[in-house]
Amino acid sequence: MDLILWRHAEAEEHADDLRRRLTSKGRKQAQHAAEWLLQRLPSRFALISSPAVRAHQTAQALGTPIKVEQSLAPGATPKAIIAAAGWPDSKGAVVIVGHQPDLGRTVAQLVAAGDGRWSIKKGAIWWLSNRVRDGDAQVVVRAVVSPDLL
Amino acid sequence: MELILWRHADAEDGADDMARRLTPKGEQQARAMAQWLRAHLPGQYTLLASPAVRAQQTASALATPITERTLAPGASVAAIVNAAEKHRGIVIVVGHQPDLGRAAAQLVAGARAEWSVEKGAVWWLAGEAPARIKAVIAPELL
Repeated sequence: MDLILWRHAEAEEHADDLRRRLTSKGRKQAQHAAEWLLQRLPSRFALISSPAVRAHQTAQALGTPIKVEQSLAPGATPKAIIAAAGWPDSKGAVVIVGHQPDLGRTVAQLVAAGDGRWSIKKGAIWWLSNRVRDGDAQVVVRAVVSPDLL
Repeated sequence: MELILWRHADAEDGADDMARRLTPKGEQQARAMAQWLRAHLPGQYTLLASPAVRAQQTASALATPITERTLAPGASVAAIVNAAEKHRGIVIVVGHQPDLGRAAAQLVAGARAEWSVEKGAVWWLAGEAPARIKAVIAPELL
């Protein structure tokens, strides 16, 4: 399967963390990343977002139906993120929109089997896929792109 | 330091491993990646390549490389890091698997592991170990 982990774009400050909205720069970041994804994703993919407004607004840039998953809210564990994505057994592509350090902990676990907190910039995308080679399950990092590289 | 690990593009089979040439698909992959790198690199960088023909051809899509014998297939992590550390600024290493994937695992996660690096893909690492993964891109996703 293809698993795309997408960190929400730049957001405004707000006392209520879950209600923070994207800044105008953040909306542009989300739009650029969405265009990049739409040119590369298969025509059918699942889109799952954290309930936080900044994540939901980022996901909306793709223009496809969004499944909101409460377990992806800020503070999500790698286990929750991996379960929400259906990794590694889902068919096709799954896009997860979430937060740091949650997504960075998830990639550290999937790629390095470690408990690191890898850096992921706002609006950046990590594209992973899995395959079996010589009987071993492998994780392939296919792309890591941040808004400044799109 | 910034280190860009670039695996040679798709190559023909051949009895002499060092003489294997890129396929037309590989040449296209190398050109596309060189174009992406040009768009994102600052003006100054150092381009190092394994002496294998497929690595030389890949690197040449970007610029004339400095050939480093120690980057030939089977290069150790230490050989890759030593070759890069002789230069300042951004260093691009055009080499092979599993060598580049081992170097990435060591630099990013401090691990002895074989990370998969696709043919023609780049892994752009930034900072001292543990390095941050700044970008990864495979030719099919350009």
